[in-house]
Amino acid sequence: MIIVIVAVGIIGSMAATMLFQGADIFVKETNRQGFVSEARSAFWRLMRETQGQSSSADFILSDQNSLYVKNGKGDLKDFQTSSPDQFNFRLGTGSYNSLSNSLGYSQSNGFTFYNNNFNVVSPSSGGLNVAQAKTVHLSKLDLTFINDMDTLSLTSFVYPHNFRFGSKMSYHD
Amino acid sequence: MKNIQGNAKGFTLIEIMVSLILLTLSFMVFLQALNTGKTVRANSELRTVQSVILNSMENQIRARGYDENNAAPWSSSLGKDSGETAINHFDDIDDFHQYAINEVSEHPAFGISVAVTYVSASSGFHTPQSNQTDYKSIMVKVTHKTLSAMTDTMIISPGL
Repeated sequence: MIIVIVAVGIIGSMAATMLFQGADIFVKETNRQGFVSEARSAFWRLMRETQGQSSSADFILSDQNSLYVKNGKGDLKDFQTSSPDQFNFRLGTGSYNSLSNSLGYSQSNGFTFYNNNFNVVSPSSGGLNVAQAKTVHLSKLDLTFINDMDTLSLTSFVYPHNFRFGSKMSYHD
Repeated sequence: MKNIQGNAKGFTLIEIMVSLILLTLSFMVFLQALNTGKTVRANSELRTVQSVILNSMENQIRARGYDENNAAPWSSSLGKDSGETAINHFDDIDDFHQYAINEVSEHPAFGISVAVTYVSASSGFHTPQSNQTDYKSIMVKVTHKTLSAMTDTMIISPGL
């Protein structure tokens, strides 16, 4: 009788431990998968919208924490990073929508702009002015996403498609 | 009465141990499945980083002009020109020819290599041409220490 109880206890506790570990791994992996998916889709949206920038002048007001783009249809869109962990998107002048609340604000370099000599264009106070924005040739997006102990850094240069065709002419309006 | 007592004696030690061992084995299979899922998830994350690096490199290349010369004849030799010691000195696409990074600074497990060749429409853009043409084929490869490489090829002409 005692042998049975001891044997059941040992094997039962082993089974319970395995079940606990399995459940723990499952929960952590599900959370991790959600975090990676969120970071990936947020960064992809940022890259895609930046690719659609129609004119370099539309980078006006952009700085390290803000990126303004206007597509070929004239839709204004902007992305904002803010402390401690927000990465937001806004269409037009409406309210901001959260793309991610896992942003590592202090670990992210945000948005950087380069002229056609590939030197950094430093935004003046209040963001890029018209003259500065017109010189932007290439942009760099650098965001780090953090969730508990997990970190995902995504960095990409973006050269908008339209820049290769030159500026929009009056007859395009 | 005797039969009832015989049926009510319960499980034997062997029966209980066998059932618990089977239960434990099924948990091990469950853990193995979770571990496989974890590996797939990790690879997915690495592929995301790999594709972002590839996209970044391609955008840097596309931001350059077609050639050092503003019009044909285009450069006969592909590769960096004199004085172009850093990537921010590169001013045309073929400066990236044989450009290589063993360890990307933000992600040391990844490496990049680029190869540029002239191609022609008549050969379907597949065959490298020894003479200058109006099309350059740029192959960007992003390698990883454990994953397979990710490769993409762009065809760029002076007008695009």
